[in-house]
Amino acid sequence: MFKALNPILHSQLRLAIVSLLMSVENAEFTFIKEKTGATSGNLSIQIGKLKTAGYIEVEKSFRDNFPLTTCKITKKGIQAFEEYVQALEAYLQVGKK
Amino acid sequence: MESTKQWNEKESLHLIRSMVESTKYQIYQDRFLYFLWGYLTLGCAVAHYVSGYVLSYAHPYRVWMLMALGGVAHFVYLGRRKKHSKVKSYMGRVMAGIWGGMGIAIILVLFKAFTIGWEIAYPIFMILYGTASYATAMALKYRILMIGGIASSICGFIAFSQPFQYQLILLMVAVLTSYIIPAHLMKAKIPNN
Repeated sequence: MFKALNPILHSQLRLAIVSLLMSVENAEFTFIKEKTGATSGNLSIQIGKLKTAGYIEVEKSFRDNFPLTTCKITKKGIQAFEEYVQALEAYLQVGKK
Repeated sequence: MESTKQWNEKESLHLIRSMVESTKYQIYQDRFLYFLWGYLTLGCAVAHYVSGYVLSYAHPYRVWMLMALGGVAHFVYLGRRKKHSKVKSYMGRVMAGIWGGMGIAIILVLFKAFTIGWEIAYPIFMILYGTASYATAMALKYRILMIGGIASSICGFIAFSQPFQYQLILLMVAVLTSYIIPAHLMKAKIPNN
């Protein structure tokens, strides 16, 4: 029996955000925007959804009088990502057979 | 990038891989520091050797005071880089730990050198350069730096049994192999996408 793919992560941009945050301690909004190529509006919405799900922490501060948004993955986010990858692998194994 | 596009499992894995790849620590970003310390140490060692053993100047060691300028340049550069950095990586912390630890060890040996003697301190410096280079090379899988690190440590080991004059030559070889040559051979990785 297949595990259903987590709908929060099975979205191109949200998965990209979580994948990026899995490999760094934290990342600024502009860094994520640069790497994903997403628009600011869309990125803000998807970050909001991930935050609501408890997968990432978002910290808002200021640097040189400019607003600075920093994102960091949570334990819950790490667990969800790992389960998502396991589920993906299971799908791909069946595809090979 | 869209958030709602229909896509398959293979694309998901490809996306994960490409995102992880794009955040990988690149040794190329540290190239300036390798050049700074490599050429500064090489220049000071050559100047010390020439002024002390060719021109017979009474205080050839004074040239090493230039290393303090290297320290200032190092911290100014890192301060600027930190200001413009948009991401904090785990590997960045590992690198800071390796080279920060080496820096502390060098400063401690430097203070003790006045009592243990410089002919003991110089070989220790070479071994410390080698150890930090080797650890960095292993973490980042950079073979040339790994060879350089081993070469520098061997130079340090040989230097223990050599007169100070030859220790300076060994130091030149150590910084050439562990800093300068690897820095010249560092290449920027261009993302696949």
